[in-house]
Amino acid sequence: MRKNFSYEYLGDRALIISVTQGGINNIHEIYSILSKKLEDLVLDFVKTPESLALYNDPYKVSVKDLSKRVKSLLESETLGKKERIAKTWKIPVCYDGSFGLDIKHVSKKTNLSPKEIIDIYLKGIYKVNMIGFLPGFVYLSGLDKKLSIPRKKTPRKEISEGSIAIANRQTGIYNIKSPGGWNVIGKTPTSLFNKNSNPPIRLKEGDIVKFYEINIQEFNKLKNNEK
Amino acid sequence: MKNSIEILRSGSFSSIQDIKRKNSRVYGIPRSGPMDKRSHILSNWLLGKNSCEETIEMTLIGSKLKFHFDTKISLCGAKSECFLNNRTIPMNQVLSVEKGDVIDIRKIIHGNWLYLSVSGKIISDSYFDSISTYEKVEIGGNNGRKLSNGDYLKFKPLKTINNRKVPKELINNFNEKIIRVIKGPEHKLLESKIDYFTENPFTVSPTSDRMGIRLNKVGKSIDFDISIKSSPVVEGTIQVPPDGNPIVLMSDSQTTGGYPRLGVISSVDISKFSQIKPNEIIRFRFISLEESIALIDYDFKKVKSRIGIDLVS
Repeated sequence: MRKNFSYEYLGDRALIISVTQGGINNIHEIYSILSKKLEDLVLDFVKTPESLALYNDPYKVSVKDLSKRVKSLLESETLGKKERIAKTWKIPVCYDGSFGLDIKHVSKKTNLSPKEIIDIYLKGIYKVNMIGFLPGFVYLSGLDKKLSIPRKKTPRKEISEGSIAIANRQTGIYNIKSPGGWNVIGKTPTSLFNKNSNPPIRLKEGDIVKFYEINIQEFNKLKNNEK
Repeated sequence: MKNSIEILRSGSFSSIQDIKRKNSRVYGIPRSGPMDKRSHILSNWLLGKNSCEETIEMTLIGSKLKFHFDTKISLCGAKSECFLNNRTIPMNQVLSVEKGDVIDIRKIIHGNWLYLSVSGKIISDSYFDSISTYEKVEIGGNNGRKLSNGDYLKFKPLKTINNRKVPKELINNFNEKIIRVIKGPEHKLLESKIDYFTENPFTVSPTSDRMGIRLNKVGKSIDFDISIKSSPVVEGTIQVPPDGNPIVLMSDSQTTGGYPRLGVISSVDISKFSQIKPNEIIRFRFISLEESIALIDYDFKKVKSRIGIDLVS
């Protein structure tokens, strides 16, 4: 595969490598190469659908020297050797009124009934686009455009863990309690983020997610099993 | 309890921080660590500890601590009212503390962040190699929580060394309000309004925290209705939300963001920036990446020649 990368600096503290082809598989691959070979030079990595950021300690290695190392390493690698097989995750979601805080708002904006919204949502096949922003936040692409509405003007101060929300063409899972501006439509009892496991989040970028509906009794039962 | 410190008064927000977390951002977990790394490093140097080891970070109203063992401590960073058994004690030097003594940090005066280093290793589970406290997922020292009244911190005592004092020229004078910035990836999107960021000053907002320092425009702010794809951010990143009042991301920064990134504060100025108090005026000055790298090099050599340690960030 031809290597098409572009490089950009984020101040003196990070290098961002963007890929113009190959998408997330390419990102996983260069991450697995660079995280091994540059273990001593790089403090952290962040993945987005099109880029990989490498964080340096500017007192140990300048971002320019890091960039030279990265370029020469990537030159000598053949990429596209192994395609990661995406996993499919089936995640239960409860749309009980006490969880779907914004379903009425979504209904008003989309001219769809709550039942129609849920049906459209459940038919969706979603892809893990990004993990981040806050610990374990999962960005999923593939939301039906009929459900596409903007983020709320005033974000909520607190959204409870497990909340499932939508904004624009994405849906997201709040795996920890946090502030947020997305429209909450339901909640999952399954915790996808566990700080005590390694890695702390089981989903990976590029994985597939499908949702299935559960009622409040099933929700409570699953929630108790989690504990 | 043997070899422990008892928290008599928690203070506004005191937490354990080190400069050790690695490889956590890929899961959305921030690196955390001290807001003013320079003062953190100096307080550790005073006691002969490695720069990266933990200190107790305090802000606004500090903590009141009872020591249950003989040890040495040091205090660096924001100029504060510090007391040992009700007697004023100096900062930026080594202090002896005996079993039963009470250290009280009553008020932070100049600056925002004070660092207390103890000649001991806090016994705590580490997370991604670090005991920096991050409350959102309860990780790091003191069971992942800020200090609370009645908590005990347990220590493994370290060997103490001869008395040291921080050389005057390495102490922050809290007078510098010009912050040097390297242009960020979305600088071009904002270029037509760049005067807005350089001509008139901003003030530090009191709503700031360890995640980000909010700035308010002095005079009229202008709208920037630009959003970008979620992109990586780093400590020091200046984001410009639609209301035109920038947010500077700090130690507990999120890993990605959707606001345009005007610039990133040079690593030589982040510690200094963190100490600028709410309502004080700051100005930005753009420098090139090459200038910033040269400043880092100079800073590294200066500290190395004065106190013999390698700076880290």
